[in-house]
Amino acid sequence: MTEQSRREVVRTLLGIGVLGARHTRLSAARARPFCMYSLYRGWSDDDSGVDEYITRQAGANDRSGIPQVVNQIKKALRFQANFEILIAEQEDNAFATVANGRKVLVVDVDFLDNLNRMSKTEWAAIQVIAHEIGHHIAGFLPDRHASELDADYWSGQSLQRLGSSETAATRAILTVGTETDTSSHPNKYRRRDVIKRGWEDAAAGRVDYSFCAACR
Amino acid sequence: MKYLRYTLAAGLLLAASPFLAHAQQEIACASAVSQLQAYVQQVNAIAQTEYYQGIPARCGYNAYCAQVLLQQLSAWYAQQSMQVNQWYSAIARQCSSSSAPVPPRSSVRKRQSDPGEEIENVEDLKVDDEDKTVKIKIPSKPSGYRGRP
Repeated sequence: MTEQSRREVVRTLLGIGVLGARHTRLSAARARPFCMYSLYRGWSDDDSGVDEYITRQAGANDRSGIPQVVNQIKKALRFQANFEILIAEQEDNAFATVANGRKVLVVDVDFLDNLNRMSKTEWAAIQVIAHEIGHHIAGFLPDRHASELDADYWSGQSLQRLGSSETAATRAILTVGTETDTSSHPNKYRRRDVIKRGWEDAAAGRVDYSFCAACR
Repeated sequence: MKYLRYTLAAGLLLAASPFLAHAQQEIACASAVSQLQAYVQQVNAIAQTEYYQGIPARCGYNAYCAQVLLQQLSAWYAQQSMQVNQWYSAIARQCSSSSAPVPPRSSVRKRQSDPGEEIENVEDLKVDDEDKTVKIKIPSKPSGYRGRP
């Protein structure tokens, strides 16, 4: 195997995770986040030139409200897990990862706030958080598109149970998702369909565990 | 005359002592920052080597192996990053609480064309806590829209 092909393997793997947990501006090797919700760009890398920081670990009553929202989502889904919630800045992203056996959620609160404004619904931020929790429910698959769609399904489930309308549940992805598939994410129409399916299943009292690799 | 010279020298020394203390503090702060920068460079160098050489060499096309090792590397890097952030905060706090100036934040955003090509100044790790006024919460209405200015 050539050095170039080895690098490609690793880069491909980086797309689904890992080194990219963009924790600071310490310029990690091609820092790319784990699941990269990345509504703006669908997929992006260091070409964006953005700054990323983790500013703090959120306590139970963090002023961002994220841990409180996470708890409500967990309660709605009856999903019991402890999360380490890290608040980021200038990340324009939210992502889920597992580090040392801990379930980690990294959230840029300003990003979510902007997303709410752009989508004209405050369910947009909740959908992103629920999507990231969905990654932890479903497990992280090697197939990145499948992994994203699984997480989307659980976000649909969450939002219905928390009281959103179906339209509000899909507004974020339709507002800023990508028109076509990217290397990491399916296009916004596929994602909308899966979020919708999760929402409708929840409304009917159903759960489709085919969206949960970790449940099989 | 000799006595006068000694008196003048002592006077000058006393007058200079606040500046000396300030200068010493400045040197200590600058040294601390540069040591931290050197540490960051080491961390990045290790991460780069492991990412580009160590893991590919050990795992080849074994995706599972690479994924596990990358997760470990990621966790290690995250831990290092947080530690560096804490150290930098401590340095900034200590240096700004004295009269010595804290190194200014770089006003220039650098863009990386290649990983590890540039190591940015650690002072850029300082955060401004922009999200302090934002609170995310579950909306009370199904539409989730309450109209914002």
